[in-house]
Amino acid sequence: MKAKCILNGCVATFQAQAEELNGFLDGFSGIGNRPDSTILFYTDKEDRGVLLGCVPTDCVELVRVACYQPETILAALQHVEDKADTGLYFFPSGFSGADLAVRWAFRRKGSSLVQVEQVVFDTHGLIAKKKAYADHVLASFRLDRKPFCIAPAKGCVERLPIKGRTNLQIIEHDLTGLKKDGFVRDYQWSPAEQARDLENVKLLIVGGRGLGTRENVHQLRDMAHAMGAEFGISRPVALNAWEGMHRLIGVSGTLARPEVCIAAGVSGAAAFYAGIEKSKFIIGINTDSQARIVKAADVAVIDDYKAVMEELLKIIQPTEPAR
Amino acid sequence: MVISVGDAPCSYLRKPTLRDRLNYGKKTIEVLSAHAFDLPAETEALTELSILRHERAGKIIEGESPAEKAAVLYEAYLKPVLREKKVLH
Repeated sequence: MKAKCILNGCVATFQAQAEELNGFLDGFSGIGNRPDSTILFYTDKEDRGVLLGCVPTDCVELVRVACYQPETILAALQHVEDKADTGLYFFPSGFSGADLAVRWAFRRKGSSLVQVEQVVFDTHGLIAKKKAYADHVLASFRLDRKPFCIAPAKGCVERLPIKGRTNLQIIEHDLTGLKKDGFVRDYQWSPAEQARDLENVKLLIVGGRGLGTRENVHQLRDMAHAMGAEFGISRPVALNAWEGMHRLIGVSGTLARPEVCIAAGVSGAAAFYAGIEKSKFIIGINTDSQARIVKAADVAVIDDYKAVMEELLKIIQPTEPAR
Repeated sequence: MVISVGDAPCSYLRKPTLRDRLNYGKKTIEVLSAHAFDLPAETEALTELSILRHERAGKIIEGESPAEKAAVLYEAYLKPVLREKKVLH
């Protein structure tokens, strides 16, 4: 069965998406059907050299489009794959990859599954596994109809750097004349506030709803910085506008992998915990001994977070910023 | 007829606004079943569910005061990890 990767070169996170997909495929290669070809969309604003250095397969079809719009991409994909008999597509994780995976499967009368943790082939065919019921359960699905369109769960694997290929086979398509914007009449990009790189910090301190006020949030942020740590927040803090969305930790924000994570005033809801579960060591500070974060942490302090953090700040003297 | 279409990773049904309700509140509502849209049959089947365990050790640090707990937390857990990772002296 032929398998292909679909990559969107039009986004700033292209390299991260490509490396994550490469990591996902690495875990999949033992079973066979590893894609040997990638279809990569880009516009004339992107650096081709950078794009070609991040191709996870031996062959790439470079598809130049006028702009990134899902309708345009789907139409271009239809054009490129019109007579292909590809049985398995891998899309990037995240919203746009999942969007394309589902819509492409529908158009090709195939089957799709998004936020997939793992894909295996067994005697019954392709089995894809994803988390369900607020991450309490791992559900296995058998996909029945080709082509199978898979989009991995964000952060389900570690990124695997891609070595540039000297013998990369390149096929070019210029589809800039393709106009398929669907119902979109006009649009403009508004860059979001620069997201902080919280993913790879060593020491991360996260504040949750239990902090109670904007002032407390800012105070904990300052304490974190004084300790040489980076500061993140849970969703209730962001929704109360006590801090910016760029510090959000969880499925809607950053999936962090620090050496140590201190979760202060955080209940430990599933959507948040997904953002810290890859931490090497988790410390929970909460007044409620029954809070979910207590069992989900390596160690927990049952007390007022502010008093504990103030005492901790007296002790910790960083050599250099751990951020 | 209200068809709610979204292009976002959430599936909350959009609620009619007060203006919508004033404009359309007295009109007869036609309810369509999903079959009316000629949707394809299920293309995937659930084969297994297994429980995911997120629990870690969950060891609770004992102490009489926040200062005592912070000291235990630092000496027994934070210091070794942070020194190993060269975050602290």
